[in-house]
Amino acid sequence: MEVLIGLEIHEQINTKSKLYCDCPTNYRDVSPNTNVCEICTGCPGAKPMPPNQDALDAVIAISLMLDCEVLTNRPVYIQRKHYDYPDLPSGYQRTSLPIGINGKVNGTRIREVHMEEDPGQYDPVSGIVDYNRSGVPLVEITTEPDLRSPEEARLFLRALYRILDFSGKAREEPGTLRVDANISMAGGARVEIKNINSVKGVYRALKYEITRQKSLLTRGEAVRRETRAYLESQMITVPMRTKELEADYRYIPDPDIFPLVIDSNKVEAIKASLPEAPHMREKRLIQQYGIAPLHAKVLTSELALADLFEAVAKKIDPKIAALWLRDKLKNVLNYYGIRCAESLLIPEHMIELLKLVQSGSITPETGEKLLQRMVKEPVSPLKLVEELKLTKIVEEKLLEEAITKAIAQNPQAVKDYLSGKSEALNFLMGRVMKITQSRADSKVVIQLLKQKLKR
Amino acid sequence: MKREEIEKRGEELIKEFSEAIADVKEEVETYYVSELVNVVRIDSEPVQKKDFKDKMLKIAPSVDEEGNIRVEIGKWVG
Repeated sequence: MEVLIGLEIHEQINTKSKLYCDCPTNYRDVSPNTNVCEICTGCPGAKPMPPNQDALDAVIAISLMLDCEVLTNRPVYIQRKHYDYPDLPSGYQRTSLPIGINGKVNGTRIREVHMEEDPGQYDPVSGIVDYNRSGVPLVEITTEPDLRSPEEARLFLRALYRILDFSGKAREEPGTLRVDANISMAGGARVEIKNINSVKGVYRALKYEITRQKSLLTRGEAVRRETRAYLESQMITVPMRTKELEADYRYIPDPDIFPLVIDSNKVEAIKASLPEAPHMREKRLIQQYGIAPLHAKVLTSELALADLFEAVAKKIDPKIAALWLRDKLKNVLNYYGIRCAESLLIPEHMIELLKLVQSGSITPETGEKLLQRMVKEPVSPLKLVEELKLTKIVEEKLLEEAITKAIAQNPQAVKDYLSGKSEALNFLMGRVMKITQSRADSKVVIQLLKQKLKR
Repeated sequence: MKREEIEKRGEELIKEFSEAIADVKEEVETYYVSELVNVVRIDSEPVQKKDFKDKMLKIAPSVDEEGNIRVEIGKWVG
């Protein structure tokens, strides 16, 4: 059964003030309903301020990075899109006519790029409404229904997210990306799934929806045209309302906002100042630093990680820097479930850490442990090593003591090793590392263990 | 007035209104703002309006102790 999937992606733009008023945009840092005014809460008679220029420039830049044609020298009206929902106090959302059209990402066609304002936050489970977010500028990106599976949608969203990240225009906090997914299968109507908050969520919602629709169609039942909500906790979609058509939104041009006419010279100027696209940077890292393509791919998965690598590679062998950032740092970030941009690690500290490892002052294992702390607090690894006495053990006597202790405490492992189970040696090595708090050189430990067990 | 009566009266009003405008010709949409374009503002330091929060929460239907407005829960999650 053929599946057609189209996505509508909303990402917040990084500005200081909101799109049509001068309230702050840091809605996560303040108590509920604090960053609000008459304009962003839609009080009767409140007129919007003119649109935020930086938000408009950001939407143009993002359109260009998505390979779109920017519509110039013609009026772009800001429209009122009407719908009734608790997060929308004015009863309409201001959304521009398309600013960019006909783009492409990973072979998926981008239909349109718009600039719009974010609604407030409404939690349908608790009934809580917070208008701090109301009026934060957004870029809305709609695709053609070119995607054929949840896997394709996931790959597309990852590629898109990477471009938005590298554009430097999107907000860096996690959870600012929101997706509506349209899905239809042969013989059924189009169903929209609203407000999915993560790439994983999109994948799961689509998987569920395909199974649901397939099962209806197989039983000879109809798939209704409707809007559904994705319940993340249960990983299911549930009916919200029958699907709106364009006419239901009763679009009208906002009479309080003058149309925008984008000048082609302005577009050229923005094009000239665009940051390096992620795929171009990936290629450059391979050529300039001689690192493996796989390393370059991981390092350019996030702008902050790519920047960190280039800063570190100025002082440290790039291949070693790439290996540490790709393996050790990524492991630590994944463990904490954060992105590099959210960590408190600075290039100077990473350089210091790698110098300590390269000089043999600390073991790679100790380096890894320090890294776990360094992503959570901006602390110098040199100071940590001194404070916690983490320098590598070079005195053979101390190593001998630790090995003797490990052997004495683990007679079964010793027996196993002596009977030919070579993996028991790794177990014993692990015990020695634990006793020495990873301050021993693992290669030396293995050698000493073998010698000791031979005797 | 009961809900059914309100709904009935609403339907009547829509019907009457539809009849009243039945002869109105369909016009090409007119955009009145056509002279002045590109009125934008530079993103500047934001301003927090401290007094407004209290004013807004005073007229909100229901507010919790954290300052959230409380409304009905979504029918689709109930």
